[in-house]
Amino acid sequence: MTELTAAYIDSLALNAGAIKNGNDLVRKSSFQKLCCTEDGTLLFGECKGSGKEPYICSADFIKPELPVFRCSCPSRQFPCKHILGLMYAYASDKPFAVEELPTDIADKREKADKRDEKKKETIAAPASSESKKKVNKNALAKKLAAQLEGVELAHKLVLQIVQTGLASLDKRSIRMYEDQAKQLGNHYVQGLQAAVREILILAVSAESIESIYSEAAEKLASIHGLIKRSRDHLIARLEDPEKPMDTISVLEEKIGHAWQLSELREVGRVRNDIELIQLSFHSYADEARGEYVDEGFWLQLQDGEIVITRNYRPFRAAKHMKEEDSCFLVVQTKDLYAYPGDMNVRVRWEEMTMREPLPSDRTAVRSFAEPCFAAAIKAVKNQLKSPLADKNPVMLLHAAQLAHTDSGYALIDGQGDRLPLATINRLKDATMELLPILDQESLIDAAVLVMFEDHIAEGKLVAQPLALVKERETIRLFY
Amino acid sequence: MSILLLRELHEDVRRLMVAGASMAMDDTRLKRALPQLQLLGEKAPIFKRVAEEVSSTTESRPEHAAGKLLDLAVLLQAVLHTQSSTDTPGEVVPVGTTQSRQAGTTITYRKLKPLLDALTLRGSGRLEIIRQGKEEGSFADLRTYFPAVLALRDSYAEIADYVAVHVIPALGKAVIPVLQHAFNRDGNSGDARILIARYKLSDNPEELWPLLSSVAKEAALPVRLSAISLMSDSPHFQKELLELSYSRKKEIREAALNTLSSWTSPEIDDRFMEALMGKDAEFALWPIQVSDSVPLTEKLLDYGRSLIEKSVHDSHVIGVRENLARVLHGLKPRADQPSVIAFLLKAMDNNELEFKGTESLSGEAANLLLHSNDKNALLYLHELRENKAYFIGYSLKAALHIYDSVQVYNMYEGYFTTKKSKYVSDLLQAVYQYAENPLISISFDNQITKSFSWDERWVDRFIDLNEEELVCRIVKTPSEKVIAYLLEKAKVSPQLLKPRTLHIFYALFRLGHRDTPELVLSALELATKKSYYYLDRDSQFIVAMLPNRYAEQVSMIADKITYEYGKNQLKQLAEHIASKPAEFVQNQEGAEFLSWIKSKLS
Repeated sequence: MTELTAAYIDSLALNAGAIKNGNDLVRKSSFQKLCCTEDGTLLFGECKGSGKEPYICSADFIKPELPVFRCSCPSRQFPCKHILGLMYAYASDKPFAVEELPTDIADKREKADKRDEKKKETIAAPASSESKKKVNKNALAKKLAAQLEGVELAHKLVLQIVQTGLASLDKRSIRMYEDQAKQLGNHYVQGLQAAVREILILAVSAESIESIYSEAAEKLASIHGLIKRSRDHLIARLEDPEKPMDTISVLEEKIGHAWQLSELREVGRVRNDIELIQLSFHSYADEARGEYVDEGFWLQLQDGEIVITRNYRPFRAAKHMKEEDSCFLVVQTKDLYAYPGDMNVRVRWEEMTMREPLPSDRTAVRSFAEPCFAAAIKAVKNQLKSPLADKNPVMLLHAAQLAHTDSGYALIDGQGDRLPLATINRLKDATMELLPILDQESLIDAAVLVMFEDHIAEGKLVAQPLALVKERETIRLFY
Repeated sequence: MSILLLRELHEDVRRLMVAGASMAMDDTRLKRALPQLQLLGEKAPIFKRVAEEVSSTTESRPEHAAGKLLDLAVLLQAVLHTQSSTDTPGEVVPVGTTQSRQAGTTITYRKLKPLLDALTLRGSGRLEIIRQGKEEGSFADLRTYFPAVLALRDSYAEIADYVAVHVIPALGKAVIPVLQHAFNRDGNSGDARILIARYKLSDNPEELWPLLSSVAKEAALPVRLSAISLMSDSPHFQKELLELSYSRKKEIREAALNTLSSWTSPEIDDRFMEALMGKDAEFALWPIQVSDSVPLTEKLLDYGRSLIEKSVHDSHVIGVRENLARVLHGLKPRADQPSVIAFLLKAMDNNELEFKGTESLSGEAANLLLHSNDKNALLYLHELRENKAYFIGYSLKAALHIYDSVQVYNMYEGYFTTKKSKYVSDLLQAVYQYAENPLISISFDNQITKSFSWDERWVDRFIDLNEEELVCRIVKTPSEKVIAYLLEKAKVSPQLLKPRTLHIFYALFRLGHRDTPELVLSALELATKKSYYYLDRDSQFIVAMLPNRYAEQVSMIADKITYEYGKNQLKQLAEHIASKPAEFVQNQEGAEFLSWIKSKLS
């Protein structure tokens, strides 16, 4: 079982308010009953609520990688404050009476076991289920045709914008384009729709339209590239229904496909027994998608690959969804699902346990830092030239020194090669201001997690430091 | 060179995207680049492709131009992304401090982000978040340093002040570089806070003295003022401050005079007197009052005498009265000095403080004498009532200082015959000032005035005069007459829970009248029936004095209240009453009871 530390419980809570409320219950001694089973796999208790009867809550760790929480309260937030409070009480060494496993929980465990077995069977026998999961060809053809239509619609829209010119974008024309972009929603091309809306939102939010010309022009070109690739791909699949989805590049996701874990498993994009350590975190509102995005930047402790977790919270449902938090523990998962993509693939897990990080983890992280900037820059440029690629790759570099030069801060590698540091548009928050108040020792011989950005108009490739990993500690310059 | 060409081309493509692709046909700038591209294309195929895209863009019909232009843009971007430079010329200078660092970066996003937003953005509820962050120790995170310093400039002064007082000092010396970096002498009040914070954190303030000197002379006004106030740290600033006290800006003159009061010297005394006699008289008063200088007292007295002399010769000299009033104000903290007492007695005796047509200054002088604690002076005031009846209020006060309560009653009771007598309102005023208000002294710990004991016979006298509040204040022992009087008075609209009603209830509680709880309960019940919102502190206190057994009744009254806040407040009060320790039931006047009740009241 994951050690029940306050940090771990914090990470389970949906938001900061839940953390506070859970702790308050413990502080006010609202729990009338605190129990655990002898083997320590189940915590259960009763908590005073506003109603007559106390709420009965439990936390079941029989499967430590997938703890099950139950509570009789009507809260829509889950885990609710009572469950969190129960765990906080345990973590703060409140006395828990040892009791027999309640029968209802025993029943539930049994049912869950049966469910799991069934699930395992289906996973273990994918060959036999193939026939069952046979794709309806007609439906697929219909969907592809609709997507293709959507692609053409998007194409028309982009051409229209370029034809009349960005300078002619005004409130009226933007509204018209937005209406057209809305229609894309009927064509299973959410990715393209978001890309188009991004430009429109950029134009609306800009203080002066002139300030966004460069960015908008670049984005239009990217969409154009994406449209061309999408069209080719969709036509090819329409002509040959046997042709599988693109499981290598981000194309499907960019068109609008939301990969399901089962699909990823089917196409063999599961990594086994992985440990991940988070190095940085970024949460932002993506207006074009209408969602908050919680992004975690992780390093795979086995091979040093930098991967990204992305948790989307639609604005409308944000209240009831878990707001991810930065994580300081090591995540262990049996199955890590990796999305198609290039340099920093998106990953997800269903089940995981956590452990406290060890000094040896930092040593391992540092050993994966790229010592040669030239090689790193080459890899980055290689990625950037693809129109589909993420324009902000993230890498862990080994810097002999972080220093100041005539043109600002820079990383310097062992060979004396330099990489300019700057605040990039993607993040907007400055992180370099922290450098002067760090001690000098922290700024030499450090593994530095950086996010790149290419400023094409100025012809400058820059990076923004997100975190420094030293032997003794990890310094997060960003979140 | 060839990259430069591509970059120019990219700029042209951008220009056409802005202007509209329909302008691309025969675009001269695109066309001009073509030959060179073709030439380069012979050596490198990529240029050949660019050249092809360029020519197909310029040659396409306007309606197809957009697609072609975008094709060209995609190609150029792909190429240019591989050509960006990472040049960082110049000498390498190490960064970072030489000091060791305690703060880490271990606060999680969900805790840190709201705090950083509270420190840097606008909106309501931010101070609370900052306070909470401080309590939780979130400021131990390095990432809060810059936002915290930024918050010193917050337009909401309460946040800026909270951060200046509680947060920045806790961050310690590690924040000095941030403060240093942020400081702008030509800035605003935020920079004044930064300067003060930086100075107070400094191990070696001498280092900053030159900065103070220069900022005090030239910087934005708030920054100058803060520098001047910091100058009180070292007497060597005296000369500079004396110069600054002649500044053209009156705020600077005022600040300089205030800071000068930290020290005493003949020069400073002279400057104060000069200011007092000149246009800065108003500013000079406070520094003169707080100055410890002994010679300054004599100078003030000399000035006072000269003013009196002037007014004796010519009672119409303009401003003499105002100046003399200032002298008296300046003498206030010096009222116990013999020379001052002598001066005041003489001036009062000779009627030198009376001014025709305007208010007399004798009252001021009498007040000073009351403060002097000098027996002769007090006796003088006590006897003054015989010659100058209008001083009788002061006489009574002075008598209270010298004589015991029985003597005072015997000497002054005769003046309180009827409300109509001439100076009785002055007398009552004096009694109000000198008889302790029990409810106020509960709410505010400090006893503002010295408490005097009052002879019990006054109670009857005040009942006759119908001064119910005075009765409440001084009554100590129960008697039929006083209880009957108070009960009668309590009948007048008790449901309003006005201060007078509360005074009566408190007095009845103190006198141990048995029916008091019932009276309080019925008043409370009446009060909650009509537009009731909440109980103020005094009312809560009175309700909390109810014995334990009334808790349930209070709770029942609370149940009938519709307004949620008021209901909860009364419910809570009922709980407090129920849980009241037994030892307080008998004695509700002791300090222990008071501190218990204060800890419970909201």
